[in-house]
Amino acid sequence: MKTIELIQKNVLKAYREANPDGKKMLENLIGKEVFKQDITDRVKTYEDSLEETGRPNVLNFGDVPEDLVPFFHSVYRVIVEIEALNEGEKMDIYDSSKRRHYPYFACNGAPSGFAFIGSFCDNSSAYAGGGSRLSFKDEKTSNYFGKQFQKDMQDFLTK
Amino acid sequence: MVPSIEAAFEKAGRPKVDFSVFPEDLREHMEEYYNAIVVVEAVNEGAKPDWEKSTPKWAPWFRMAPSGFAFHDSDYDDTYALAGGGSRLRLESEEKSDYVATEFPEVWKAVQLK
Repeated sequence: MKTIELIQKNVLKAYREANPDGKKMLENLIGKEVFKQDITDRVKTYEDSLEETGRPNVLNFGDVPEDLVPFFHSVYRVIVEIEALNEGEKMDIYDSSKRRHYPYFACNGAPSGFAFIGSFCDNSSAYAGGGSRLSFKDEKTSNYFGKQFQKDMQDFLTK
Repeated sequence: MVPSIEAAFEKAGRPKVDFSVFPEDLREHMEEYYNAIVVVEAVNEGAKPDWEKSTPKWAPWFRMAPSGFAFHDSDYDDTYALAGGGSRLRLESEEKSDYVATEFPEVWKAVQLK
C-alpha cells in the first residue's frame, strides 16, 4: 500500500477554503480532530509560525546596517507570528466595517517591567507603523499573542 | 527640517539597502519601514526614546479611508507601547511628529499598506 504524506498547513488551508461538502470529505479522510484544533494549540513559537506559514527563517540580513539587524530580525519574526495566528486572513485597513486588534504593552521604567496589558481595537484609524501586517483578526488572538510572544514583541518595540 | 527622503538619508547617514534577503512579498514592507526609520532618525537629530524613562514619545495617527490616507493628529505615550509603535518610529516632540506625518505621508502610508 502506498502512503501519502500531507503537509498540515496545506490541509488546513484546503479545509478553510472548502465548501461544506469539501469540509466533510476532508474530515472523513483525515479525521475531525485535526480540524477542531485551535490555531493557538498549533502556534506557540516562532518555529511553529514558520511551519504554519511556510515562510523561510531569515538569518542573513544582507546589507541592512548592523545596528538595525536586531530590529529587522524582530520585525520579521513578529510579522510571521502574526501571519500564522491570523490563519491566512489579511487585515484590510481600508475596511472600516472590520475591526483590527492590537496588543498593548506597558514599559514601566525598566526592561523587567515590560508587560502585556490588553488588546486595543480600531477600524478606521492607524497608528504609525501599526499597519495591516501587525494587527489581529480578533481580540482573543491578539491577547494570546501579547502573552505568548511577549519577548519577541519587546524586542520589536525596543531594538 | 528635512525636505525630502533623499535629504533624510543624507542627514541620518544611512545607506540605501537591498531587501532581497526577505521573501518577495515582504520586501516592499521592509523597505518602507526602513525609509520611515531613516526619516524619524533624521528629524529626531540623534535623540532616541528611552523606555526606561517616562518621557513622552510622540507618533502620528492617520485616518484610513479608501478615498484617502489622511494625517489625523499626533499622540504620545510615556510608558505604553502599541504593537508597531516601537522606538524606531517615535518622535521626541509633537512638532516633529506632526512634521514627519505631513511632510512624508507617502512613507507612512506605505508602512501601513505594503
